[in-house]
Amino acid sequence: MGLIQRIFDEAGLCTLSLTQVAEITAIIKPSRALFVAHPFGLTFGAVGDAATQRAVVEAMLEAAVVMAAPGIRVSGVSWTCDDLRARQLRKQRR
Amino acid sequence: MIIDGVDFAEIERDHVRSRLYPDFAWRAFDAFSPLNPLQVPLAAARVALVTTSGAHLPDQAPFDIAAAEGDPSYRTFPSVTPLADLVLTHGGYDTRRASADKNVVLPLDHLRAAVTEHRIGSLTPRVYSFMGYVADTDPLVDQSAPAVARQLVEDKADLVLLTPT
Repeated sequence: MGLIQRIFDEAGLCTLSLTQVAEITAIIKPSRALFVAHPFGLTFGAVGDAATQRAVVEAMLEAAVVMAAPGIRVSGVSWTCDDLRARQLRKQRR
Repeated sequence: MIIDGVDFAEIERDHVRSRLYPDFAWRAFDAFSPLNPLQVPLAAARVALVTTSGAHLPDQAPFDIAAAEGDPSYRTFPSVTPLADLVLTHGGYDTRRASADKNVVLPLDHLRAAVTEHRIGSLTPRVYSFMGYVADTDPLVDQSAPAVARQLVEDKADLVLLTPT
């Protein structure tokens, strides 16, 4: 995602990406990213949780407006889930 | 920046190298790419969505999830497409679960609501969709992504939102 964003940035486009893995985004350094600590495959929230999904979208829109310098902004959006994300980050299966 | 107490960049690199693509390495950069400010008020902005969810129309060729080097290609579909009319092809996350509510990876319903509520001006006509696993990044960097960048310029996108899975 960051590589694609870099190319869009070089083309003069205004961009904002969402990232679930800030370590990788910090390596690739696209212009502006918003970090959200959600599991892979549930990027915007749980199935049926429209409020959290919309909150992530809103956080992206806000970040696109307020981020005046390059970097990674940490989203305050999260929902209480099980240890799925922690297991995914360690490549563990239940 | 390690937020969760594990260096997933290292874990993922080693996983891809050992099981899929031995030459894999992250492309590292010393500097951020250029930050291009939003030139219009958000309420007037034409917003484009670029996803790596592997979403596509049923009559489009599915992404190649068997290729060790990944699939750098992309698909486009109209931004008015009902989510029920899309399918998800991706080897890196549970597409069956996400298919029950595609907004978890592709928030089109929420972006369309943002248009209706005048939070943003409009959506650009097309959504651009990649499949997130691309271990050989050369074709992505040299061909696919520049092609999409040119189309986004043609679409007159004021803001491009990129969403992962």
